[in-house]
Amino acid sequence: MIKKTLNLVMVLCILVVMDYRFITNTIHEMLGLFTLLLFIIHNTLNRRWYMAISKGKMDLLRILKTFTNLLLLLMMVLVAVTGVLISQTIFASLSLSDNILVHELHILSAYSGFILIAIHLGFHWNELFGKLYRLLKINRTSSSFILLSRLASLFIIGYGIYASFTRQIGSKLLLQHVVTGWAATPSLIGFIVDYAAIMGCYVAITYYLTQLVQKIRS
Amino acid sequence: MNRRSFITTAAAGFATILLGGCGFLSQDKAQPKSVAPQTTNNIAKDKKILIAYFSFEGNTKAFAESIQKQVGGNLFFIEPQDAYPKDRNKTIDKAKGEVESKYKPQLVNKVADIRSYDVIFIGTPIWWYTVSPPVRTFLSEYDLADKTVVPFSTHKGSGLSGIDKTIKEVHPTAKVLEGFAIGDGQVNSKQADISNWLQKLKL
Repeated sequence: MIKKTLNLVMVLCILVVMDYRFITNTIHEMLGLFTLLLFIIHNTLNRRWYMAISKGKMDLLRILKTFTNLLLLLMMVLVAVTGVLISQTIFASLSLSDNILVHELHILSAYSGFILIAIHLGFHWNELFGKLYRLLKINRTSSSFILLSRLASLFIIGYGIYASFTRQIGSKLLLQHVVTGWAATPSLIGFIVDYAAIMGCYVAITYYLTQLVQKIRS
Repeated sequence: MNRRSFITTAAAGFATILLGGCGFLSQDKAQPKSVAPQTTNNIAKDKKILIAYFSFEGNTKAFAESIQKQVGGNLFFIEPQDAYPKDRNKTIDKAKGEVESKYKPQLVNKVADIRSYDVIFIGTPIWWYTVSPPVRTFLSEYDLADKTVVPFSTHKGSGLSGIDKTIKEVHPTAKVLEGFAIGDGQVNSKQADISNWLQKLKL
């Protein structure tokens, strides 16, 4: 339960911390540090995964999961280190703020980390929500649940793809400089809805692909 | 049953999104947006003020003019000898190279007797996370020792970007006051915030 609350808080923190323009620099730095702390706790609580990494059989799914997790770890380390280096408030004395490359690496690692987190969630969806479904007495094999969940997934995937374009996620991953005006005041709710959908999109795609791989194998 | 669970889950999800927003929304509301601009021409009556700025798209110019309207003083446009291309993307690329190499372009004009000013406002658009190259030149060309310097910026998301520190690095003995940053296109809607900031500076 503590683990799951931690996971939920961590996802919410990530969605908010990504909205740099709305929360402004000082809050971004503080929330980023807090998220890093949660990330470290998450890794400590799940340290057994690291110890078991070389044990047991490696199949396609496990290779993909391991690769995702290790790449995600790398991105989180990179986002934290670059974040400290370009800090204007908390670690201002260490600042390499006028180095463009450090800023670009921060954006690259943040956005690829964001997507890797979604893929990571997709891989673990059953573990994360199996208990909740049982608790709420949801019969996951019932046709109405399957229909509803597929419709919801389809909607999230559709809107997530749309939001990926309107929020120019691709340009951010490719480090293209995006020119956007401030004609509209940045809104946190709109941002979170869009980014949650983008996250949900990758979660759903990963989840269904995992199911597919398992079905083919059995 | 299924439908009810679905609604419960959906409601819970929606609530978390709302909760996530609350803390920061109230902070936004706390900003005194509707405060009418006060007559602030008594802010620094006895001080000689210079407002030096570079502007490419007009945002920093608008900001500088707004400051002048409220505190008086002389405006000075930091103009590079080679103007930046009208095409935005070309300027973005050119600026990237210049910022990376810390290039200082030649300027057209000089401020006459900068030592006679008490307060010097320095404004820049944030280009590639730092001061624009013409402002870098400006900072290196004058002796601002012991002067009161006030940075201001316009930006597309990166705020003040530590330009107060940049000024401090070039002029360690200057008294750098708290700066203010405004998002591009928002100068008109932030007049009240500009007034508040100028008041708080206690020039």
